[in-house]
Order: sequence, then structure tokens, then C-alpha cells
Amino acid sequence: MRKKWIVLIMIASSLSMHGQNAMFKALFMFNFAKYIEWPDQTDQKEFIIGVLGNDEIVSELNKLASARKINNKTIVIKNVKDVKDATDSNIFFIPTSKSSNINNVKTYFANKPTLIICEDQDACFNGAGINYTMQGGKMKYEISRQNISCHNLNVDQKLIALGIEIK
Amino acid sequence: MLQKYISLALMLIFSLAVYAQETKKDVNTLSREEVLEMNIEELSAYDLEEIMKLMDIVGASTVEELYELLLNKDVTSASKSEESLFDSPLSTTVLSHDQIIASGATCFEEALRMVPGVIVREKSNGNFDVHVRGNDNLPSKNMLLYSENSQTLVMINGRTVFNYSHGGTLWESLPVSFEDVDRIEVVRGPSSALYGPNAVSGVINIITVDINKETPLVSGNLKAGSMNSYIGDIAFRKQINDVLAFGITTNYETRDRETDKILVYNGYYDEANDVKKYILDGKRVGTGLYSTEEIKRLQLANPQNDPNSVEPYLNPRNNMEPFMIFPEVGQTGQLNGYDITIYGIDDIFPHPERSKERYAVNGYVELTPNSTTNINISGGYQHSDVLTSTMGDMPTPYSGKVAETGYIDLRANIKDFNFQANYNGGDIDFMTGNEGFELDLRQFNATAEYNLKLDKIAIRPGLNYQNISYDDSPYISTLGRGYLNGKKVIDIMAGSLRLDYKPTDKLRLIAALRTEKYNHPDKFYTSWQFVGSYKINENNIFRLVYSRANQSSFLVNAHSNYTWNLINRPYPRVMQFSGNKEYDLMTTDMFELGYRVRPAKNILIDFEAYYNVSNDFGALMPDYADLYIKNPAQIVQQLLTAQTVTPVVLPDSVHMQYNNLKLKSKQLGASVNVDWVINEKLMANAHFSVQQTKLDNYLGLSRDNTIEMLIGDAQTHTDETNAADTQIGTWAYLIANGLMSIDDIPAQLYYAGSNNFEKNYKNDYEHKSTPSYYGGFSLTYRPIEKLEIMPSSYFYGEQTFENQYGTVKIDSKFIFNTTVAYKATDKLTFRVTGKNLFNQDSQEYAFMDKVPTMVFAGVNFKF
Repeated sequence: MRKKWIVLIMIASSLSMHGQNAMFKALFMFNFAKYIEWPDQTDQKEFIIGVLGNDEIVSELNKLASARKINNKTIVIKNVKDVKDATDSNIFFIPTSKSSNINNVKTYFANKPTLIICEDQDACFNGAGINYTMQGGKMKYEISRQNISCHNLNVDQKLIALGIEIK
Repeated sequence: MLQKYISLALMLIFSLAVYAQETKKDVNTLSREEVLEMNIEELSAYDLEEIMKLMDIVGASTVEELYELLLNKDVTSASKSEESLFDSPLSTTVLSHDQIIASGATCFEEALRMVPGVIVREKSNGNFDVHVRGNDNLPSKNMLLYSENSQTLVMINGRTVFNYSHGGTLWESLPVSFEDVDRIEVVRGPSSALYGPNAVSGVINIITVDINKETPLVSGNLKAGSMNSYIGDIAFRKQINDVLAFGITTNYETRDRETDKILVYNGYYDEANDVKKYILDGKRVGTGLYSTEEIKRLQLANPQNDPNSVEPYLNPRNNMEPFMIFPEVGQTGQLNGYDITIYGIDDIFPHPERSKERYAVNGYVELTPNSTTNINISGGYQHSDVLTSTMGDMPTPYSGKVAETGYIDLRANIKDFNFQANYNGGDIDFMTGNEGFELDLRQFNATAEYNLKLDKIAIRPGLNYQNISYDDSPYISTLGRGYLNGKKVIDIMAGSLRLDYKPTDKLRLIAALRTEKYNHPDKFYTSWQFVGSYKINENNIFRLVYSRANQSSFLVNAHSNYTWNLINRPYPRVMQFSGNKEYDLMTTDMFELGYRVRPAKNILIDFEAYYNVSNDFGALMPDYADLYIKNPAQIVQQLLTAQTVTPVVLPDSVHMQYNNLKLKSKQLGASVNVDWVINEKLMANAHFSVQQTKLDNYLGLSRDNTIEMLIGDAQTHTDETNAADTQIGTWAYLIANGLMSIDDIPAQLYYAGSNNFEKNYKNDYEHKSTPSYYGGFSLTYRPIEKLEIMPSSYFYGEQTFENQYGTVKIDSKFIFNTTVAYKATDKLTFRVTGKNLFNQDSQEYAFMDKVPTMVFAGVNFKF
């Protein structure tokens, strides 16, 4: 009987693992905001996270948005098909499936205070501020200080230290 | 009052904060199950650093992470810079360290059975033949040497480990072992444009571990198994700080054969009619396994030991002496005016029961002075001693090979500038116990490349210099006893340029060109790769490849200078081997179509189809044979007494010259590989390859066949044969008239010679040395976290191996293995592997050992 319980517990825990990467990506994103200083946006009452296309991260971000705030602002998740529908995004995320849009997104947010986050190889070389990457089966992030600063954002040294800096 | 409310509110907030603090558990005390039970809201209480720790606690066992580990690997060898395997512009496979360990493989060659398009045959316990896509045993009907794969470039971190003496890879002499290695990258198809000569059928690049904070201080593998097999390695590695890391690794391996008997082959005068060639203790015997004590007594049948012998003139030295296959003790000196050296069987096979012994030590220093510079220095020493297929020509297909070499390798990346220089030197005895096969080797290689990355194009110009020398003079008693008889050098200067252009997100165009200048042949050779790849979307990518690659010059081909005074075989009395400095290098052109698809995010299918044409094969083959009358005095004497006598005309000497052949190989093939992460407990891999090789201008003659053809042609040279008859008549006249003594007649008289014969070339001849199908599969099943069960298989179709001493049919084979691993802790895993569990013990490589079921048990540790 005990063995059966163990098997059942293991199956349950295995099922719960589905989608965990999306959850951790959302948690990373939530934490990134703590280490980034956006220029004065007192007029903006919402902290907007734009996501291009359908991705599991949207549901995770929505869960976070209902429970937490960023910089004392309500988190709003904008799941858009076109970058133009997420004009005032503080963070804009391009999932792997949409990574070919990096140039459009980069051009659209040029000089705007938006942190562009990707999950594609060499994305930091193509304009992303932060890029999720897998190394040895572990999720990590690459970070480019230059790509973040050029959007008038200040980045805390700790965020750079915890990631893989791309120069 | 207001102050009260404010105080109360503050207290309430503080209390809530404290409560929140209390509910947020210390990450260092959380179990994996506790983390898995948390929802995103609870987890959002942790900061980034803590989230990272929580991810470590959960571990790399989620399905997504498995996708990353197995389906989204990175590779560097296909483009010389890191990219996703899915985007690789060439047919590429990556085996990770963990995959290799999990498979239960006992050496790199065995692990390569997991790679599509790779044919792996075991010769003797732990010694393997590895071919990429085939084209093996060409030219056929020759020495075993020509079945060594000399068309694949094996590298360690881009450092070539190649046998430039004969071509091929001495796998046992690689200094590294599993624990050194991060991954093995295999690129199929001509790749000389990237890596230089000999990357003809592909490249196998063994990449060592990059030492970082996560590298265990001590790690290793220990394994023991059937046939006294003991294999182990251990690594000590440490990153001292952000700038400096170092490592020391060492490995040891010893294995026995299933038997201590040695095959003596070529044992029939007429196999169809069972006319055996040898005599053991008075009985006629043929090809078979014999103990070294029996071999000491093994004779060639001749009139002295067998009155019924039909071969009266088999011993070219002395017809009435017993013709021993191997003398009991070595003999050296002069016989009939010629230098001879034959070592005894105990010198040739000091350990006939052992198949392999090797040990090595490696050191690594990694310097990262800043974020754009890293310098890697590695060095090491290895000793190997194996009993495997011979590189020479003895009555047995086995011989010992001993290598003792050291290396130093420097790799520096400074921003976009890459520099690599290395030296490999030492002593290799290609055929132990035989004078002339031990050489000093020195290999120096330097490459400088610059990777200029512009917006849409990456430009990579490079320069390379290789200087390779082999010298047998320190190991031969007098000049003439070696096959090189001195220090011989290969010099290669090369310039290369690679353009990688991405005009759109989907389209990628690559052109890589490399031109090499050799000292011998004194020519320029250009190799190339033209690739167009189109990524339809994230899950589909097509590619087209047209590439050319060539072998380098090999010293045995260019510089052979060897007089073989035949002791162990019948006529001809002597064979002279000569190299050819200006021969054309073997070249392959390939067209390939590739397609990778992810039909679902947990499945990756990789398909490749190719057609290649190879030209300019070559071999040391007879180009001249002469005939001598062996009994001129007897003929003269019997002429004088008016009796009839049969002149004994035998081939006396044969000249072997390395020459290009007209042979052309045309190969059509395809491979498919499927990786499927079914769920986090079950993963599957399968690969399957088919190929067909056809030959044009195929002559199908062995060395001895060619000698027979030359002799046949010589006998038609009536001007020469008439001159010999006249000479006999002249001697008879002079003796009859008292002008000459019969004793003045030389022992033999030149009769005729030939350098030509009629050649009947065949076209579209089906070459069957490469199996028409081969492949493998594996299932990885993890019923619980601590247990992993991995059944796997490797199989191939039947082959026909054409050798100079016969044609051998290699049966099709299905090798079924199972590995069971128990992960006692994160640091300790026990593993048991059953190899070839169906005991299909047929030979995998012509003439070599049978391969029975074997069981290995071992442990992997990391602290």
C-alpha cells in the first residue's frame, strides 16, 4: 500500500511540474522589475507587461498580476498580436515562437522606457535587454547593460551579477 | 487619537509583515516537494537569488528542461561558433557527457553508436573501427591497413589527433576519457573547408569540460566487467576565482580478449579443394586460431616436411630448410646476402591474452582575465598498448600497437580573434616486434582566425600551418630496415575564408573556402562548403549543402622506401615498396539535402540524404615484377647430358609503388534520427541509415592477383625469354668446350619482366564493405527519481569484406544492451550494463575477435 502512495505522490508531483518553466520565467520577470529603475512615470498608474503572441507565461503573469504590484502599480498583462497594441509597455516579452520579431520590436520601442525580454539565441546581440537561456538544463538569463540603458532604464548591478552579462 | 490609529495601523502592518516573513520559509531548508507545492503567489515572496536556488532544488527534471537537454542542444563544430543544434547548417549530432555515461558505453567509440551515420565495429575487446557513412575498405582486396578509416578527422577541442603516417585515428591513444569530456560533436559530410584535410566523410570533435563554479571538485567513473576489463577515470577541477581555473584528470583501462590464441590466415593453397598450406606437428592445417606455442611450430608445407607437397619451391631462401611461419626466437642478420630481421612470436605478441591497456594524465588551465578574453592551456601524456588489426602484412591479421605520446594545446579567444597552437609528439610502434614500424612523431599545428560580425554577415578569415614529421631512424639497426628510413615531413600551409550571411530571419547562406599548399604533392588543393538553409518557422528548417574535401598526404604513401625480404611467405623473394611524392590526394564531393522538424515540442526529427563521389584513391600496388630461372645450372647440366629438364621460373622481385587508381566511388545514402521526450519518465531515440555504394573503374585484383597478371604478361615478352634461352645455350656451349665451369653459373638467371597487363575495369560494381543499413535505438525510462533503465541497440546489415587474403562475409547483427542506474545520492550513481545480451557473438570486423555478451558494473561519483 505504501508503495502505491509513493507512486501516486510522484505522479501528482510530476503533473505539477508541467508549465513550471513558464512560472519561473514569470517570477524572474517580476523580480527583474525590482532591479530596474524606470524614468519618472507618475502619470502611469499601471505597470504594463506586453507579451507577443500566445505563450504559457501569460496565464502565470496574470496570476501574479492578481496578487502583486510592481512599484506600487497594478500589473497589467497585455497579450498582443502586434507590438503596436502594447504601446506603453514597461516590459515587453517576445517568446521563442515570435523571436523573429525582435527587429520590429526593437525599432518600435527605440528610445522608449521598455525592457525587452526574449528567449532566443544571441537575442542580446540583437537588441534584447534580457534573454532567457538554458544552460546545463537550468534556466538562466543573459543581460545586456547597454541594451537596457539605451531605453533610459537604470539597471542594478546585482541583476547583472546574477545573470550572464553580454557585452 | 489620530496618533493611536496611526500607531495601531503601523503595528498591524508590522505584524503582517512579520507574519509574511514567517510564512516565507528559508530556501535552504525547503525540500523539492515543498517547492513543488508552492503556487506562484507564494513564490513571488522570494527575491531573484532565492528563486534561482528554488529552481535548483526542483532540479532538472521537468519536461521542459528535458526538452532543452535533449532536443535543444548547442553545437560549435558546424559553424565554428556556438549555435542551436536545430539551426546547424550541416548534418550534426551532439552527445552530451551525461548521455554517454547513461548509455553504459565503455569508451568513446562505443558511445558513437548512438550517432546516426556512424558505423562502429568492435575488433577486439575495447578496440574499434569507426567509420562515418562508410566508403570503407577502399581500395579493397588490399591490406587491412586500407580498411582503417582515414577519411574522418577526429579532434580534441579542435586539435587534430590523426595518424598522418598511414591515415586514420589511433583511438586508444587519445589521452582523454569520459570525465574530461563535456560533449562529442559529430559533423557528417566533407568539412575540410572548416578543419583542413582528412575531414572528408566528417568530423568528430571531442570537447572537454569548461571549468566553472558548478564543476565538481572531484568526479570520476569506475567500471569493471567481463574479460578482466577495468576502466576508470578521475578528475580534480577547481575554479579558483573569476580569472583562474585548473584541472587534472587521469584515466586507466585494461581489457583482455576472450582467447589468447592468434589467428593465422592465408592458410590454403586451394581453399575450395581444402588444400591446406601449413603443417603443425606433422599434420596439414589451414587458417585457424593457434596458441603462440603452436605458432612457433607452424611450418609452411614443402618437400622437406611433406613428401606429398605439390609446391616444391616455396622457400625462397633454402628449399630444404623448414619454412617456419614465425621462428621460435627472433633472428636478425644476413641470409643469402640480404639483411633480414624477424622477431620471434613472443616479441610480436608479448601479451596475446590482452586486447588493450592504456593510461593517461591531462592538465588544464583556464584563464579569463576579462569578459572578452579566455585562454585555455592543456597538456597531457598517454601510453597505450593494444592488440588489434595489423597495419602491416604478416601471416596473422593481428599485431600489437604501442603509442607513448604527449601534447600541449593553447587556445586563446580575445574578443573575436581566435588562436590555437598545439604540439603532439612521442613514439608509436605500429607493429610491435617487427623492426621498422616504430617511429618518432612530431605534429605542430597553428591556426589563427578572426570572426568579424557585421549586421547580417559574419566573415571569418583564417590561416593555418601544420608541420608533421615521422622518423623511424632511431629505431632501426641500419638504414633500409624501416619503411621511411629517416625523418619525413608533411608541411601544409592554408588560408581560409568563411562567410555566413543571413539576409532575412529565415534564410542563411554560407560559403566556406580553404586552400592548402602541401610540400608533397607540390600542389594547391581547395576545399569548400556551400550551404543554403531556410528556416520556414521555428519548427522546420531545410538545408542544401554542396561540399568538397580531400585527404592529406600520408607518409607511407609519399615516402615509403622499404625492402621486404620475405621470410614468412613464399615467392617473390623480395618486394620493394616505394612511395610517390606527387600522387593526387583522395577527394570527395558531396551534395546533401537536410530537413529538421519539430512536429511537437517534445519531438525532434532530423533527416539527411546525400550523394557523394570520391576520386583519386590510391594504394601501394605492384607495378613491376620480374621472373628468374631458379635452376640454370641444373638446366645446363642436363642439356649437356641430353636430358630434358623443366626450367623453374619464379617471380623473384616485385616492385610496389604507391599509385593513384582509376577507382571512383559513388555513394547514395540517407539517415533519419528521432529524439522523443514522451514524458519526464520516458525518452526515446532512434536512428536509421541506408546507403548504397557503387564503384566505377573497379579492377578487383589483390596484390597477389596483380603479381600473377604481371608474371603472365612477362612470359609473353619473347625477346627477353629468348635471350634467357640463348644465355643457357651459351653457358652449355662454354662448359662443353671447357671454357667455363658449371660452378660459375649464377644461382638464378633473369627470364622476363613486366610492368603492364590487360586491365578489365568494371563499372557500377556494388561495393558491399559498408552495410546497406545500420542504426540504433534507445529508451530511457525513469520509473522513480533514483532509478534509470536504458535498453538500447545497435544493428547493421551484412557486409562483404574484400581483403588480399580472402573475402569475408560479416553477418548482420543486432546488439542489444541494457543499462540500469541507481542514483543513491546526487553524488553517487551505481550502474550495471549488459552488453550484447542476445549473445550475437559473430565477428564485427573481418578476421578479428568474436564479440560475446559482456557485463559491466560501476559507479560514477562527483563531490
